[in-house]
Amino acid sequence: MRIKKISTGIIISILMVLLVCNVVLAQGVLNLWCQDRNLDRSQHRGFNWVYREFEKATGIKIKVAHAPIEDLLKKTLAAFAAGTGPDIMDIDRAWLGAYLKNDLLAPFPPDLQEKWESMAVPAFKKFEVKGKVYELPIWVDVYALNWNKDMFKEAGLDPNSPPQTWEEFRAYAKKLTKYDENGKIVRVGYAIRYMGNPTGVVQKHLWALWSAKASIITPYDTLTGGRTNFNNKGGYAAIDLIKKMLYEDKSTAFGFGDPRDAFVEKKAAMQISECAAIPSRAFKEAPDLNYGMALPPHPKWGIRVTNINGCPSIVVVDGPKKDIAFKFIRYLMRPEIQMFIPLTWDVDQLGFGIVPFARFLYKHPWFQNMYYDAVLKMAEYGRPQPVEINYTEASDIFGKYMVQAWFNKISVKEALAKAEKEINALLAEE
Amino acid sequence: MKVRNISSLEKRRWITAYLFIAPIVILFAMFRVYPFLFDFVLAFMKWNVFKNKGTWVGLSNYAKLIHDDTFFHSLKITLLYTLIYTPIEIIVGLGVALLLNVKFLGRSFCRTIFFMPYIFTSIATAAIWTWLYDPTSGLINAVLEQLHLPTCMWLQGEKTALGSIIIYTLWREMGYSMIIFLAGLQGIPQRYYEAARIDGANKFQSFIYITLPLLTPIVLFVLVMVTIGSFGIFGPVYVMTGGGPADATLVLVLYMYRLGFRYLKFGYGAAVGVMFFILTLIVTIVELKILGKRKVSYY
Repeated sequence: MRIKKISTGIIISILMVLLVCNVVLAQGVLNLWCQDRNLDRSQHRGFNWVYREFEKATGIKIKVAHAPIEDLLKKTLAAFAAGTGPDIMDIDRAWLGAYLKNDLLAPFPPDLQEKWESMAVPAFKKFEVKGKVYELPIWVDVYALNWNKDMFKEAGLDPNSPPQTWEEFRAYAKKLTKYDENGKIVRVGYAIRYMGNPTGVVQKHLWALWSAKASIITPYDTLTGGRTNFNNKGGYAAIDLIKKMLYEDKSTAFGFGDPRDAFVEKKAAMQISECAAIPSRAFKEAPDLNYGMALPPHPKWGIRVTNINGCPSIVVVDGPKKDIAFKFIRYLMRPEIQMFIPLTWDVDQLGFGIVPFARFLYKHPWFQNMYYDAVLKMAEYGRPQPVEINYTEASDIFGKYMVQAWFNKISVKEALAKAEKEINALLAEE
Repeated sequence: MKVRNISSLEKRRWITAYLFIAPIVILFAMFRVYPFLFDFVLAFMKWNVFKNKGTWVGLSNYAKLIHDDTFFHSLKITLLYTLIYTPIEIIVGLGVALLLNVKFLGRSFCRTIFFMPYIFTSIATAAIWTWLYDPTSGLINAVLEQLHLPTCMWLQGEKTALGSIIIYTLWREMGYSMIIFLAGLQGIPQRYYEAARIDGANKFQSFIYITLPLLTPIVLFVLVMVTIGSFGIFGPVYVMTGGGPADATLVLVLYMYRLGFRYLKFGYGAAVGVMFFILTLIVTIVELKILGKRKVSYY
């Protein structure tokens, strides 16, 4: 009986010690959750070095967990519900609204915000939500028009002059389209995205919508209370542009898959997507691809604009380790770290394709080339997607009707009216 | 005294037995029964997943469903898929099982080949079929072109996407019904066929009057399983089309997934889940009522 009591006591003591140790150790660990490949220490030697140096200097361990983008959202939802979320995480802007609405993220302290603003490329100021900074973009992706210079030459177009206006865009796309002897399109002048989730489709067409002064939800930095702004001349023109190219000009077509694939496989002369998409693949999959990069076209009566996304973008969770997390953010914002990250980023991408966050970096010889000049100029016209908590659903609704109009199932007018009705009902819910 | 001893022994046996099944019962209750029941509760709430708490909204999630065009659209797509896919799978599965029930060299190899797709990961095979279906560089269109046959947009065409998913699912799932039918066919005693042959019945008559009636319970089982599976189709649609183009393949479970994990509307998603459950239950009961009556036995 006595032995039993003693052994029970020993077991309980061991468990208590382990518990205390665990609590103490956990204090010195910063949990960072990120999308697959982004920021993961096991996949990037560069990031591993960044984390290691921080760990050496502070004694705080960075524990990185990664998952594919959709799984990451599920993982964080489950964790926040259970009260075991990360301390710092890589966020998709589409989720930002929901996190902010639930007070889960901490705004940068004033001094850090000041530093952030003094460091950032001017266009990044648009990432602020109601004047507050919540995210540190490691770099940014700007949507750009890619054109195949060899195909331009072949079609009698100036290979160094991409289309600037919609009128030029349509005319060029028509000239660049190739048909076989049966009149079937074998190469499109411009490749459209219409497959996959509707938000993804809309994302690839925002350039048209925004440049025609329309938007799905406006303003872009409001969590709730936004309104639709597309059932108008601009929205009509943006959807009709592609419809005309499909049925009047026959310069684009369904069935060419992902526009980025079509461009790399030389089945498309032009495509619009993230500026990093083509450079990061071309050198491996199509080294002879002679292409250029420019701001997407706009209507003569419209504005010059494109979309920019933080990718990855780091946010701090408003929790007990907030202070340590900001210590890490401060460390990441140090000039040498800002310089180190893009220079050592994924070997696949050879360090290009991405737009670094810090403006001073562009003075470095590495970033003084035509590519970065173009990207930086385009970034000036960049606009992030709205943070409205219902944006994803609103965007899915808009995308569904937009593609239905492209398929000629409904008229453009009908598509706009239906989308407006549904999105307004959605926005009225909150 | 004797009775009490036996009773206590029995009691101990019962306790031991319950202790043995306790882990699985607990796990079943935790991961199956509780979520299932909770779905019904959740459907009456507006759930904030971040804060893990909900607000009671009564029947408003169901009221919203009535005006939800996307819900009815996804329901229509799911029913269409089930109505086309289920009979084809049963006919093809039974046909292949009949062929592979005949003795010939390489029969086991053929059975393995037909069953193999079923054991492969559906996500991987769906991704491979997406490449095969590619209209410009896919193998299927390349072969059709070589044979001077018209090509197709497959997954990328609004009118062909659902059909393409049906073809893929048929390829993948057919092995399952085939193996069940094979087991059923092998359970039919040969003496019935011998008696029928003596009576002058040909192969077709034997199939109609012996095989089919005796296979009724198996057909019923496969029908119910395939119908439930068809209603719950998700993986291939998620991987191959994401519900597109223009929601042409937006099935009910994918819509439910979007509501929950993309729009974070777990309460409303749960209401769709309840409707999905009721629908599946009704269809299964109808199938059991209609086909379950047909009991055939030969003595």
